Amino acid sequence: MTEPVQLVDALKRIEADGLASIEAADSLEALEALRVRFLGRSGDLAGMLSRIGQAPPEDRRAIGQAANTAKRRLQEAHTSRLAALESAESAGVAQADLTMPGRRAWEGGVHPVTRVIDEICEIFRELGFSKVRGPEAETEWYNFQALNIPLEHPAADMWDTFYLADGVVLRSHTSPVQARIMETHEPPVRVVVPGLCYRRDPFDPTHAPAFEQIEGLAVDEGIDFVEFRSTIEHFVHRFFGRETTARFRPAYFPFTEPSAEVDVSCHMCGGSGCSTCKGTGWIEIMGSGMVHPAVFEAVGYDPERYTGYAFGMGSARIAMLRYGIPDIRLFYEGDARFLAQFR
Amino acid sequence: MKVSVNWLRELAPGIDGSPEELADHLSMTAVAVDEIHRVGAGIESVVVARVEETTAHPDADRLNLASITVGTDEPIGVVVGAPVRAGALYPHAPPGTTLPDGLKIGARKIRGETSHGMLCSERELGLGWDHSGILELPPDLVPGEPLAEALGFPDHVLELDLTPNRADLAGHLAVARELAPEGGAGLVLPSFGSSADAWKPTWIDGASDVSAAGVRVIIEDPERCSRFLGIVIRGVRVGPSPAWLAARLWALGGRPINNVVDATNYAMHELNHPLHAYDLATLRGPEVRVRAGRGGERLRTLDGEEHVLSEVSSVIADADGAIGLAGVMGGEGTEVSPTTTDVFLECAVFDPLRTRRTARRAGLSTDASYRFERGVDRTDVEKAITRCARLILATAGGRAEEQAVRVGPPPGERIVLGLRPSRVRQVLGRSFEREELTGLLAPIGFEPANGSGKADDTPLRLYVPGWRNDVTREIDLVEEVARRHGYNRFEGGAFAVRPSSVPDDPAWDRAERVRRLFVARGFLEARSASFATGRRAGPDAVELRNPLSAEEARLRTDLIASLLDRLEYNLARGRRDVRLFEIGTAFAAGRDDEESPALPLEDLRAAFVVTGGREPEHWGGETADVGLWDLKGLAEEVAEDLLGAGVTPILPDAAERIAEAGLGPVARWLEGEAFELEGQGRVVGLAGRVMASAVDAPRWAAPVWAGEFRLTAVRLDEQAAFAPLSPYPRVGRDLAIIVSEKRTVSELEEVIREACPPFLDSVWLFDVYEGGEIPEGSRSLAWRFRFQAADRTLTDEEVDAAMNAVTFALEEKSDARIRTS
Ligand SMILES: [Zn+2]
Repeated sequence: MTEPVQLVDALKRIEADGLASIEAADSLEALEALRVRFLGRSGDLAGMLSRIGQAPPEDRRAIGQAANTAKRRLQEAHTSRLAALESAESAGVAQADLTMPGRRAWEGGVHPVTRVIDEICEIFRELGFSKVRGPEAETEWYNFQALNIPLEHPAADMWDTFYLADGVVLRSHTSPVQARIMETHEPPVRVVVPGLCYRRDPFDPTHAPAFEQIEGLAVDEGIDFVEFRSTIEHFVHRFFGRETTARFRPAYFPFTEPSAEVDVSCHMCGGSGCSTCKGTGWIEIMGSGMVHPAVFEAVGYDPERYTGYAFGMGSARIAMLRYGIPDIRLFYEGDARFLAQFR
Repeated sequence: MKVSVNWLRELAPGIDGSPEELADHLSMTAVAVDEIHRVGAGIESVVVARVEETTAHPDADRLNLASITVGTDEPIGVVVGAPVRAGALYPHAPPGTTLPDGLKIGARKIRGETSHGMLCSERELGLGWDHSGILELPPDLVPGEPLAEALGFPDHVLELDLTPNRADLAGHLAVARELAPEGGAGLVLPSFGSSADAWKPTWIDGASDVSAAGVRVIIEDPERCSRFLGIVIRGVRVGPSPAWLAARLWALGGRPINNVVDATNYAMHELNHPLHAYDLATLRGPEVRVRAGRGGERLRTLDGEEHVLSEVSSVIADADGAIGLAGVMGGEGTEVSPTTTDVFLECAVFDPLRTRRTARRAGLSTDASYRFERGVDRTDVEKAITRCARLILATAGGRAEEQAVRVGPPPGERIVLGLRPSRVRQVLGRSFEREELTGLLAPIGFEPANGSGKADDTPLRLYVPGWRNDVTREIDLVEEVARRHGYNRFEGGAFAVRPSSVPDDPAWDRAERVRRLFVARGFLEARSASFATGRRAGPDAVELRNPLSAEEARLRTDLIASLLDRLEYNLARGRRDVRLFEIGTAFAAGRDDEESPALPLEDLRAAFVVTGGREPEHWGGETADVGLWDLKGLAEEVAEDLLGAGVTPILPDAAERIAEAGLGPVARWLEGEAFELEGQGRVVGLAGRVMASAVDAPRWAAPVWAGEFRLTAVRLDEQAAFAPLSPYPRVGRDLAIIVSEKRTVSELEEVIREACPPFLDSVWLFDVYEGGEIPEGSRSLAWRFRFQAADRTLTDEEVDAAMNAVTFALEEKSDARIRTS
């Protein structure tokens, strides 16, 4: 009856031996060698188990149990040692300096003026305005007369205009699109018109000979000054923030009456006066007003039936305010260091 | 336009509030005030001094010693660097004074002589810009008086940003009317003394030709001048103006000249009527006529400039010839001088347009032309010239002839406009009672006329005051109501969402699609002014009539021209990696439509330029520069994603098609490897390598690539379509062939696709090899195939059969040979 006892003992010895060796293994190679030696197909444990058939049947159960226990414990030890060695190894391999910069692709960017145009148009689109455009070269008729601006009059001097030929100009404002839209569409009309305009102003920190403007026009029955004011105020709150207030001042544009200049409270000083607002606490953002009946007459609308408002603002100027850009020329130089700030 | 607050307060004693409050009130109800200046501040310690005698400085040629008194007998010695007259008055800054320009005055030795303070120039006192001499003060001041106090300083001057409609506000009286709580009822004209104020002319009228007081006045052309009034004053003593008058002119930045000329300027600033005084002795005839200029006629104006006249100009002439530019500037030969004794005073109404043309042609813009171009009040010319004559009588003495000339038709009936309360409500969105409306408008001159109805939609009849030429229709009155009520009191509405009959312009969506593609590929959006700089303009660029500079005298014919400017800007700043795109308009001559044949063609385009590394430099490996295949890949993405087009190499015969598509100016930048973007059989864009000579690039710069395409070609109809995903396995195969170099890849791929069964999922070229064991004139090409069926697992036999078919086709049709190793 020694055989079973011997076998069980031998298994226990293998187990103890294996556990100790595995625990002591100091490399993955050594551990693998031990796995092959103790747990492999022709390893010690397998060799011992192959002898189980020689044992009496009544002992085989005890031997089997001992073998299974040994196998389980060795496997557990191996797994845990393997994990330990692997993590130690990987810790050793990760010599790379992880603070080094990653591999990047070029990043594109949308021009700040485009961003402002999109944002402004989106606010008005929510109010039912569609987004249209018109030609940059215009006839004098659309640039001036259709807008109730007599030629050879001081009023026409408000726009120092580039001429291409007799009667043909580069539009000095986006307002000609008002007339074009009304000629081809019946009320209700509600449009915003972003686009380039041209004036004979040499480049300086606040002027550019070509610059973006956004024109707005709303015509319908029953639009009045109160609605115009609250619509512009809504825009101001959406674009500049709730805390910004708008004020309306008398102004003169031949194609609107009453005409109004719109100021917003200075975001830099909150109204107490600073260099941004030239000490006034207010910043001028748009010219606007109720559409002049003469403009309706020129496009064949009945001025007794329809009323409306129009406004125009310099998108580049507003982008300067929005991003604190001191010089309008930065928009048109194309300096990648500048453009890359708007990603 | 400047107005003096002191003057306004004198004209309307009811005006209350600080200069800042008055400025704010004007800005919010009438016209913007740009700035407020203080005048005569910081000169409180300057006193009036009389020069008793002057002697030459013993030690310096250009200096004098002046002995002055300041109200006591005690003489004070000052050194002066400019001439002064004994007996005349000058401003004296005693030691211890700090002048407005920061100059500190002390007692100091100048070349051995002690100067106790100094005598000041106009500029040193902050009263003007003149620094050429010491300011001689009006003789009616008293030595020892503090100067500022004697002149009524400090004053505040408001800088008005006058709009073309409110030219009436170029006169102080009109501004005072806006500010006075009682409006016009609160205005008073200051007295010039009871005897001067008592003088009244008797008008001798005529339609176009009248003589009175020894002067004949003729209006030859009533279109140029609708009214001409003249007064003769004899025996004047021309000399300096009194202090109060000089102070008014100094405050407005003007300079006193003499009592006659100053009186005309005073009346202009008060009543907004330009006036002119002639030395009667110099008028040939004596006669004054308004007529057209004659070709070749010459005139030297008061500023010393000589003008050659034409029929465009309106002139004032005497019996000999032109003596002034009508409504613009008088002539040098007839001006009032210190020796003048008899004066002919003119106050006229010159036509706005003719005055504008006269001034433009002469290159002049004067206080007078500014006012006439915008229109003066025809109804109160008498008042203005009478007032000016009275001021001359008060300050220069003399005797005014009672008979005065008045030529031209009298002003017609006062203009009456109707204002319907219902219309006010329709436009402004607030109801006003009839009394409210008159309460707002009557104080500024819109007095109620007879015949006003009572009903809401019957008009209120209102007189239009003569000074408001800009008010010609009902809507103008509505604006008056709105601004007098206060724009910011129209509150309480809600913003409205309303429908629009106008559809969106698809160009904006197209631009957005383009923008998304380029931004996603690492491009920065640029914006350019649409002028082509010098050498970058295309051959037939549209020219500007009145460019700002010869360098920017033409419109761009393509966007690459602009982007190359932007590129050079970056290269010049040492930046090697540049990736820019732009969306904008290219111009070409000749739209040739009925609107105007001179209108140019406008084409919306998108363009890009790229140079430098394919990606940002990284420590992990070399970074290649953007090259031909990067450019082509980008062109393919643009073509397929945006244009629904293909990319083909530009063929030699393409020039005509490109020109027809209007892309000739784009093609001129490209050389060597270049591609057409082609959609629906038309060339819609080009892309390729930019010729080296087109860019001023430093030696270290990488090759430059660019492309441009028409925005109208960008598709919008695209709706991404879903294709079901096959659940069955995908089978891969590779195939390498050796084939003649003459066979293009696109032609070989056509053969491959034709030979493949429909279950070909994708095929792509993955290797190209030349040299080595590959025979001369041939190359090895290798493709990777992916097969996948939607409805079944493919068998090896099926796939092998497909590959055999491909191999067979390539061998048969393209003389290819399978490369086995
Ligand atoms: Zn501020």
